[in-house]
This record gives sequence, structure tokens and C-alpha cells, in this order.
Amino acid sequence: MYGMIHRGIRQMMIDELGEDAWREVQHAAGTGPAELISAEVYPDATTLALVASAAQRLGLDTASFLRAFGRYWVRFAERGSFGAIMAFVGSDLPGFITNLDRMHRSVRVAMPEAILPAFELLEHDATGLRLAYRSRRDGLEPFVIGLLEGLVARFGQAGQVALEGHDGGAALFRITLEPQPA
Amino acid sequence: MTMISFAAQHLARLFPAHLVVGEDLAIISCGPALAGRVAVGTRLADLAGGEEPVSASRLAALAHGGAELDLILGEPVLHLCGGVVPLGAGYLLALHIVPNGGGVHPAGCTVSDFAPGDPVVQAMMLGGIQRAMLEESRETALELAQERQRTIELLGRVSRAAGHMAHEFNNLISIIGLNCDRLLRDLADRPEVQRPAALIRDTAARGSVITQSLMTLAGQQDDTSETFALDEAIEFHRAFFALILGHETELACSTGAPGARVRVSHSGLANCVANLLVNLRDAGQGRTIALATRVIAEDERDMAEIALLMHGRTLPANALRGGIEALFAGAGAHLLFTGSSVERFVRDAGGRISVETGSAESGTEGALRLRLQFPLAGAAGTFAGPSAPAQGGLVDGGGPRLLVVDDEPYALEALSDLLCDLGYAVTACDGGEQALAALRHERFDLLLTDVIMPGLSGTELAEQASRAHPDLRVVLMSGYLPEHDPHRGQHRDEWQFMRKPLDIARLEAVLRETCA
Repeated sequence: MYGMIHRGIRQMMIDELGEDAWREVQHAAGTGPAELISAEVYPDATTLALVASAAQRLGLDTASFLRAFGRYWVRFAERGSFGAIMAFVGSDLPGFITNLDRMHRSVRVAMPEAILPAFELLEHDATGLRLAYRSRRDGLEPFVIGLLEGLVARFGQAGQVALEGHDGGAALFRITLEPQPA
Repeated sequence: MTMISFAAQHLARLFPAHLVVGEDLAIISCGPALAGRVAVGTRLADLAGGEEPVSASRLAALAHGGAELDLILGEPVLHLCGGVVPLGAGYLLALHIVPNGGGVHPAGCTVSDFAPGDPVVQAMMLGGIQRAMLEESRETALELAQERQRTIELLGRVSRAAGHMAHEFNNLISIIGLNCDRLLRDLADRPEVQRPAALIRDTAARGSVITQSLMTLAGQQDDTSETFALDEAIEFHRAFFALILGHETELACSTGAPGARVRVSHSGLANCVANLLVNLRDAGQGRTIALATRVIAEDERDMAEIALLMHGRTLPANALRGGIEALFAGAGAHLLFTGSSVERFVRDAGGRISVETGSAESGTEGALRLRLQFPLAGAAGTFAGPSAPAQGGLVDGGGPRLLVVDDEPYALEALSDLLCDLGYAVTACDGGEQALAALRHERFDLLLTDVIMPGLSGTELAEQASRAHPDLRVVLMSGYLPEHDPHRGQHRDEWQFMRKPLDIARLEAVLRETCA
């Protein structure tokens, strides 16, 4: 995965437990400053080692960590140097999800080796959204749930995210939004 | 001519920023990118400006000629550009949003405001990624410099701790050695004592080799000191300094110390300057930081100075005390560094550091100046070996009078005893203050003092004694090498130095030579 993910994990550990905790995670995963270059694409094993180490340090199982990291990822991306890009992708939840693939296409031009997922908005109305997620990687559904939860919060809404199932290689998610106050 | 018709939704998808105007140039409909910015019925001329006024004749000309229409919508400014297509009654303005030179999203636009295949989207995304990467590079350079500094500090702390422990052990070994020498002299007729005493002394000497190796190793930092031209070093790191300041703060660098050489860690100096530049930038609102070097005379010593000056408006002095990284403590108009890594680095090099804030009276209110001063390499204070003894020689005849100072009582006793046996008149003091008091009441030919002592150090004692008694010879003793003395900046060329544990024969030779 690309190094920005590693930087996100790092910042999450620093925010939660401090710099020393991050150094322990880094040491346990066998990584160093060289694995923190955003535009660099690293082997998945490196990322998984960091995820496992960070989860253990936080006292979470991997799935719970991935979900928490997914939520954190939205806040991390929007406050960092990529915040302007986040704002450009969309000003509301349906628009953002619809435009994610266009953003990923641009990322792929800058980082040709990156393996990026695809999102397709299937239906949406005031009560929620339904979308399909496709990825060459397995097991990242908890991260996607957290990501969608983070996006719901980013656009000032409240709701629940659930994995409905799988269909034709795609994972189907439903976001149920709580009614907005009048 | 082939006619192609679009449903409204397809038109909206292909040209999200389109406008449909009637023959009177009133807006009939618009694309989703302009919804909320334009109102149906508004006249185009009232809505938009551009290089040329919008008129029916101009639209007709553009539709016929194929040139593009430029429109500027105001508040917030949005630049639109595109073709004009004549309709049965009116025109289709097939416009697209033109990005400004600034941020990724002009006037709050998003990806949805651009057609699916519009290459502008990718260009803006890549521009944004590039800006983010540059920002990250700057942050990473700073993080690496800070990490390096942390590592150096950690190594320094470990080294100091190891060095202190080794120093204490070395002192104990010195005591053992001195007392063995006493036994060997006092009981020269007792062979049954001679052999064990000699064995103990030799074993202690071997132990001393180990502790001295550890002290030497502990005295070494991650970066060793070297002598180099200050201006060359500043020029060498200039690009790095500018990079870490970022594009919003300019570095105005001027080197005015040609030929001035200093003896410090090369990378340590760069890290210090980088550290201070970042703190200055973050403390103030100025757009320029000036870095200048020069040679100055300070307290009768020539020093090489690096001055950092923040132009422009900075925080008030009392806010600076709290605002700058918590390494500084305020003291009136001058801010003093306390306990900072920068301060430690400068002081260990025999230099000094100061901070000055501007004042309204001088018209420099808000300015902030940091000065780092280092002794010139080769100036007074480096050990150059034995030199000719001071004029005047001995007074009163008889054995030379020695003032021996050491805070370790067993070492003081053994050394004093040995020196008496060698024919010297010895006054023993267990600290610097006691020694100064003795100097006020008696005249001595030579001061033999330990360096590392609580309170007044041996070096400080020697400096004060030398000023009060210019004829006084000085021999310093320490387990440390001279360059590791925190006060080595005060060393004088004519002083001698003996490494502990003392070799009595060598000490004898030095004393004889010095008192000759």
C-alpha cells in the first residue's frame, strides 16, 4: 500500500498514545523512516505488519483496529496536505463517493504501482446510500466501514454503516442516515 | 450537417457548467455546477464580465467564428470558458470551469462540476498531490533533523553518565596508585610490602587503562569536533536552511567572517542553526529571516558569530517567552537560553548564546535576534604544550611552594604526602574556595589542582588565581582530556595538564620543568 497509509497509522498512534508508542510499533513491525514516504508503494506485508503491531499496542483485534483506523483516516486526510484534494472530491456524501474513483485515477497516474479500490454508488436518497466496493485485497471491509463512518461524520451527518453482503466480487454496504433536524 | 440532440440530463453531464440563454441573453437554464450561482431570468451581461462585454452580436460572432467565450462570474470569482452553439432562439454556452493558478478547487468547486473526461480534474489532482508531496518533504526533512538531534542528545546523556561513572572509578584508581607509591617510598626497606604494593599499583594502572578508554569513548559524541571555516559551512547548508523554512519565509544569508575558523561538530552546528531558524519562523510573523556571520571581540577574545534576525512583526517580548519553544527563560530585555540542546552545544564548544528583542525606542519593536558565538579555532585556550616559565622565578628560596587542590580527601592526602617527600612545600585544600582563601594569605609558586570539583571548578580557580597572581604556574589534573573540560574555553596556553591517575615520575618531571 502507499506510504500515506503508514503515515496515517503513525499519526493515529501518536495522537492516541504518544511518540514513544509509535516508536515501539515501528520497531515491532521492523519499519523505519524509509517506510513513511507517502508516494511510495510498499509491499502489503509491510502495511499488515504495522497494522498488527498498532492493533496490539492499542489492545484491539485487527478488525476493530481497521475500523477505528478507517474513521481516523478521514480526519487524517482532511487535515493534512491532502485536505484540499479531499475538499475537491466532493461537498456531500453521495458526491464524494461518486467521485472517489476519479480521484483514485489521478492518484494512479502519480503512483502507477498503487492498487486502489473502486467504489460505485448504487442508490441514494435522504435516508441513506447503498454502494459497492471492489478491491483486489481481501479482508479490508472493517476499514471501509470505518471510512464510511468517518465520511458520514465529515459531512455533518449521523448514521450507521453495515456490510450487507457480497455480490459478484463486490462488497455491498448500506449507510443508513439519521433524519436531519428540521 | 448532422443534428444531435441532448436530453437535459446528458447536457448536464457533458457540460456541468453550461448556460442556455435566450435571444435577449436572459438565462433560461444552467448546468448543475452553476446552480445556486445564477438565477434563471438574469441577463448574462448583468451576471458576468470578461475581457469584452457580452452582447448578442458578440455571441453571434463567436458562434459563427468558433472562438471561445470567456466569462468571469464574481463573488467568489469563477472563470468559465467554452464554445457558443446557436440554438433556434438563443444560444447554448458550452462552458467549462477554468482553474485559477491557486488551490486545487477554484471558488469552492468539486469534481462533480467538471465533465467526466475533463482533463482539468486530473491536472488539478496531480497539482494538489505535488503540493502535498513538497509539503511532506519539508516536514520529513525537519523530522529527520529533529530525530537526529534527539539521537545525539540521547547519546550525549548516555555518554555523560558513562563518563561520570568512569571518572569516579578513575579517581578511586588514582587514590590506590598514589597510596601504593607512598607505600613503596615509605617502606622501601620492607620487601614483603614492596612486592604486593607494586602489584596493586600495576593492577590499578591496568584498571585505569580501561576506565580511561571508557572515558574517552564517553567523551566522544555522535559527531566529532573538527576545525572548519564558518562561512563555508553556512554556505554549504544554506539550501537546507532555506528548504526547512519553507516557501513562505525567505532566508537572507550574508557571510562576513572570511577566514574565521571554529572547532565544533559540523553537523551539530547545522542542526543548531536549523533548530533556531524553525523556532524563529514559528515565533514571528515576519517573512524574512536574516542570517549573518562576523568576527567580534568579546571579553578580550575574538569570537565568530552567527546572528539570526527576524524582520517584520513578531510577538511581543512577554509573549515570546511563552511562545517560543520552551527552552528559553525570560530575563528583562534579554531572553536567556536555559537547558536547551542548542545552549548545551554552544557552551560545550566554549561559546555563548543570547537573544535580544527589539524595542519601540530604537524603532525595532517586534524584531528578534539570536546570536551564537564560538571561539575562533587556534585562539587562546588551546593547549600548545609547555612554554617558557613566567619571569621572576622563585621567591624566598627553599623548595617551591605548591598549592594542591583536590576534593577527594584520600587523593589529596596521598598526593600531598608524596610531594612533600619530593621536597616541595605543600599546602593542601579540598576545594576552590579554600584555595582562593589560601592564595590571599600566602604566596605560592605553583597551583596543582583537580579540574572537576563541586562549586568552583579547577579551571575557574586557575583562571581567578592567574588573574590575581600572574606569576603563578598552573598544572591541572583530571581523568578527562582537556577538550572535554566544560570550561576549556578558559584554558591558557601556559598551563600544564596531567591526566589521572597520576604518574608520579611524570608529575615530578612536569613540576621540575614548570618551576625551573
